[in-house]
Parts: sequence; C-alpha cells; structure tokens
Amino acid sequence: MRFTANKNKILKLNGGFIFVIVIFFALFLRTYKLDIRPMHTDEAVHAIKFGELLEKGTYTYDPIEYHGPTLNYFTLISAYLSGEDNLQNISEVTLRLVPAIISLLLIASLLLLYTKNNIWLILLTASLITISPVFQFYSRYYIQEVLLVTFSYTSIFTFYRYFLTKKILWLILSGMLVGLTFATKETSIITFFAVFTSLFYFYIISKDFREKIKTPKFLIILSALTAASIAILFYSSFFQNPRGISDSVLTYFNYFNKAGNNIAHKQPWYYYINLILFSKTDLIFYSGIPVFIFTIIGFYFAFTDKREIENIYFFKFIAIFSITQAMVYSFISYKTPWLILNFWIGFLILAAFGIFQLFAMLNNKFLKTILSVFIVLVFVYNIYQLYLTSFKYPYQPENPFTYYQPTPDIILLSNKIISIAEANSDSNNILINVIVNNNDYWPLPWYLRMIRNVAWNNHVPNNIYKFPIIIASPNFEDEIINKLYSIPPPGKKNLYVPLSQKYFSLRPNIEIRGYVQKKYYDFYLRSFENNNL
Amino acid sequence: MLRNKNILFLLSFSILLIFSQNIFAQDLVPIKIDLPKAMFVGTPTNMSIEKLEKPLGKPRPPFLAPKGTKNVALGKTVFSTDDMPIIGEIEFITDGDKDADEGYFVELGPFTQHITIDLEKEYNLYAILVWHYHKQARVYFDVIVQVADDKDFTKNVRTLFNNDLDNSSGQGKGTDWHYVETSEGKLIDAKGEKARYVRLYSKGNNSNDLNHYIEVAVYGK
Repeated sequence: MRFTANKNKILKLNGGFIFVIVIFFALFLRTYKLDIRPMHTDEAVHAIKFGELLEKGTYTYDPIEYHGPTLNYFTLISAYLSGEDNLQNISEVTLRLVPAIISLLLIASLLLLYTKNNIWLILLTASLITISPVFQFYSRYYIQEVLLVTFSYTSIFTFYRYFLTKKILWLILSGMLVGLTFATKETSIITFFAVFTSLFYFYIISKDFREKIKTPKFLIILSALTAASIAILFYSSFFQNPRGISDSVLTYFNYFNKAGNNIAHKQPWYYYINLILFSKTDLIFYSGIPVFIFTIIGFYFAFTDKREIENIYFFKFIAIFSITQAMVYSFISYKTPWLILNFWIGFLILAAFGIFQLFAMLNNKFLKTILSVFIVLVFVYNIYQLYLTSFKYPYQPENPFTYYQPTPDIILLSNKIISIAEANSDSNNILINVIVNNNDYWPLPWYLRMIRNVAWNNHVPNNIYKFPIIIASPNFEDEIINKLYSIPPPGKKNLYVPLSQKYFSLRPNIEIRGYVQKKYYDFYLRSFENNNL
Repeated sequence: MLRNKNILFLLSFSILLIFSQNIFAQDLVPIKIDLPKAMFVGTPTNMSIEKLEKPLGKPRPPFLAPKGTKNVALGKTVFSTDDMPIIGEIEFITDGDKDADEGYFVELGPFTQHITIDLEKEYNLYAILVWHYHKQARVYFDVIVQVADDKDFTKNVRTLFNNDLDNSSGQGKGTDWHYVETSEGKLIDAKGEKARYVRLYSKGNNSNDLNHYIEVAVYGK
C-alpha cells in the first residue's frame, strides 16, 4: 500500500515536472524568432489600431471592422513591459507576444482538469496542443483568434472545475472568461451557440447531468453579471466610450451580412477539412490525419464506451462543442484558416483522450508497444511539420496556413522607401503617396509608420507631382506618368526614376511599384556612399 | 576603313532606332536606354574631389517619361567652341554610339569648352544623358547643362545642371555634385523645359585638361 502511495506521488511529481517542461517548450516555440514572418494585413491593421490606444490612450470600438478590444488592451501590457510608448517604437515581437503568451495560458489551464489519476492525460493533451502546427502558427499571429480560443476553452475548463469542486471562485472566473470571450471577437456568438448546444444535449439526455449541474440561481446571476461587467468594461473602453456597449450588439447586423456576402473569403463547406487533413505543395506535405484518427477514437470512447470513465462529461461536452463549431464554421461561406482553431483545439483534446483510452483498453504489451511507437512517430511528424510551417517556410504561399501573406519583399520595399526618405535633409516631412486598388495597401501602413506624411489613395490625385515618392499598383503607372508630366508647367516637371528595378510584391502575385524624384534618388545614392565610406 | 565602320554603325543604329521607335509607340515607359559595356581600364587613381558622387556599381534605374518620348538629339547638328577637335568628329556626339573605344569619342581642347546641340525645333525636354568618357573612372569638372531659345544662349537660358562649384567657367556657382563617368551616362533632369538648344560645358577632367564627349542624348517629345 505504502509503495503504491509513493509510486503515485512520484508519478504526480514526474507528471508535474514534465508539464513544466512542456510549458517551457511551448514558450520557446511560441516566442522564438517571432518576427520571422512579415506582418500580415490583418496584423498590420490591428497594430495600427493599437497605436491609437498606445499613443492617445483612447480606443473606440468599431462595429464594422477590427473585432473586439481585448487584443488591443492586452497589448498595452506587452508594450509597457517592452518599454515601448509609441507606434514607431513598437516591434512585431511586442505585438505577437500577446497571442503567443495567451496561447500558453490555454495549455497551462489544462491543469484545471486535473483530478486524481489523469495527470498523464493532461500531459498528453498539453503536448498535442503545444506541437499542433496550426495552433503554433496562429499563436504567433497578431490577431484575435488565439485569444478567443483561449478564453472560450479556459472558460469551459474553469466551469468544469466548478462542476467538480462546486467552489464559487471557479464559477466567477468562468464568468470573467466568458466576458473576455465576448469582448474578443464577434464570432464568440458561435462559441456560445456551441456551448448551449452541448449543454442542451446533456440536459435532455442525462438525468445525472441535470442533477450535477444544478447551480443556485444567485450564482448563475453572479456569474452572468461578472461576464457582462467584463464585456461592458472592454467594449465601453473602460467607460470612455459608452456607445461601444450597444455597438457590441449592433455589430451582429454587420457580421451576419459579412458572413454570407463576402466574396473575397468565400470558400466551400469542406474548406477546413481540406486545410487540416491534407495539403501538398512543392514545399510542404501537411496532414493532420494521424492526429485526427485519434480524435475519431476519442469521439468513439466519449459516446459509446460503457465503462465508467473519469471526466466523461467533459469529453462529451468538448466533442459536441467542437463538432457544433466545426459544422457552423463550415456552413458559413466566409472562411479564413485561423477560424479552424475554434474546433481543432477540441479535436486535439479528444485525440489525447482517444490515445489515453486506447492505452487503457489494450491489455497486450506488444500492442501497447506498437501504439507507443506510432504515437512517438505522430509526435515527431507534428514537430517536423511545425518546424516547416512556423520556421522554415513561415511566409511562403506553399505553407497551408499562410493566407494572402506578404513576403519579405514588403520589408525590402519599405526599407528602401525609408532609406530614401532619411537621405533627404527634411526626411520627417517628405511626402509619399501610396496608390493601390481598393485601398488594399496593407501592411504598408505598418512598415511606413516611421514616416509622417504618407497619403493613402485608391486613385491618382492631380497633385501627384508634388510627391517625391510614389508607390502604386502597376495599373496606375500610365495615369501617374501622364499627370506627372502634363499637369506641372514646363520647368517644374520633375524627372522620376523607378524606386528599384527589382520586382516587389505586396502579396504573392500582387505587384507594387515605386517611383522617386531623381533629385531624391540622388540624395539617397550620396547617403549610401557616405555610409559605406 | 573608319568610314565603312561608321556607315555600318549608322545602319545598325538606324535599325535599332526604328525598332526602338516602334517600342516607344507602344507602352515603353519607363524608358530603357541601350547602354554600352562598362570599359574601365587601367589602375584607378585616387580621387580627392570635393562633393563627389561615386558610381553606384550596379545599373541605374531607367527614368520615367511620357509616351512618345525619344532621343530628339539623334543625328542633330552640334556646334562646338573647339571646331578643330584633337581626336574624332563633333558629329560623334549625336550619332547614337556610346562606346568608349577609340573612334567613338571626340576630344576638345583644354580649359572651358562647350558644345551646343540644335534640336531644329522646340521640344518638351524630360531628360538629358551625357557620356563624356568612360574608359577610365574620370571626373569632369564644371559640367554645366543649359537650354535656351537661341543658338547663342541669350534668350531664356535655363540651367539644368551645374557642378562648377567655384564659378570658374562663369555660368554661376553650381550646387550639383561631381560624378564619376560610367557607361551608364549621367542622367540629368530636364524638368520638362521647352527648348530648341541644349548646351553643355566642361573644363577638363581629373586625368588631364582636355574635354571629351562620346554621346549626348536629349529625351523629349
């Protein structure tokens, strides 16, 4: 008896120690070379939006774009810790640290599921989430999705903790996380729908569940009030913008419309299945099938196994929660790859559960060895794919997780523009005009944030000749040249040269060109020479 | 022999010209210029010259110009302060040939000399490209480029480029920088000036006191 007790203690200690290692490994993966990938359009948009909060101290919720305010407010912490107090100083690393660190919270929060004998299941789940290539990739992405996923899953974990312990603290914490979920992104409505679908299922089919979930009304109200308070706090910009509260509801008119009518992001219903299960390009062969096999096994054990399985409600709940989200997101024609995280995390939890149950079911040592070898191979394969997608080919269009991702061209172009501007004696006031179809010039505003006077256009203005530097889509070139040389009087028509003879792309296959007044180009050449003397 | 060679070059150039005009008639902007091969020979000498731009070491980008812009100086008459060149012919300056070899450049006497190109009618001028001599990494002094409405440069004289920093050539003190001659030629912004006559001054170079021209191309329409 004594030996068994000691053995359990040792196992728990080892499990705890390994869990810490997993967290540190995740920390390394999430934060290593965070600036390896150029800023995506969405990241740049959020970064510039955050700049207003950082510099002016104001945030106004916009019900049309940008999503909820939590990303911006949490970035304040990151900026404060990095000692960066204006947009020009902010780095990609500071911004991306926010989703990266919050993604670790999701992994760490798995400990909330800890009961007596499930430390190895928690470890397995934590490991699978840590090495998930898709979760890793978007944990280094300055958008709301990882925050949404973390807050929604941790709110479930904390609620489950309350379910196990009946301690009010967990219920209040769960309420707070629900509030954060709502304050993160409008698509949280899908999360809530999936939660209620899952709860409804149990309420209908399980008397035992109905008994266990019984919660005093005042606690439910307390939890709901906590959630509402957190959401109000964020949407009202901490009471600076009360209109944000009503806008957080009115926004759904916009998003329901966007979900069905946005042609640019329209994808078939099987888009997420394709994305996660099989993708082969010249550079990467990606497949989530090995993990997904265990997810199916997890589903099987969750719903068909007759044995008394610890935490079975939790896994059943996660199964319905995930599959509901998968169905809703697949049904909506507006699709972006990071949305997959909302249900893929649930699938990973079920995969770990499937593996664990499979081990428990197998009596044969040989079969257990075979399964162990297979699992090790799955882990190695996932880590290798994580390496390919996050570190080796982080911006290449062949990477299945990149989505209209700008290439390092954008950095080269921006650096050249900045160098030309800086070579001028009045570099702070140099005028730049950026002209791109449909105002689709992002992420350039992020990369040119150092320059004060940039005009952003979707047409060629008549005063274009007043701008020493012009950046434009190729289709505007004729009109630009025409206006440069026809509008000013003789003697005032400045000669322009291309910014570079190199092909620059804003995003793959979307060319962008630059033109600079010869005088300014000469200044640049001289500064270049002086720097190299 | 030299004459035959010139005829051959003229023929080749004419073909090139016809071809290039066809291209210009389409959408060829920015304008690309056929450039001669780089011909730096010999050990370069140290250059301690005030306000000196060094060669870029890679091709300069072409310039942008309105459709229909072409070298309006091609084959046009050139006048010079030295009408008895030491080497070559004045006509070489607008023959379209930019090679640095013997037989392609004209050598004018020492001190300040200038050449004047008569474009035969007024043009809107956008750019001027000058090749003095690029067989060596030379710097020519007092490079001044002007346009005017008359041959004697008394009416409506406009200075487009001037690196005569001490006004030793008497056309005013310049603010432009010296530069090293390369096969790229020196690109000068003509600011869209309307003019018939183009004049270029120079006053020797860092290697000797003589003045040289391989080619001057004036882009306008």
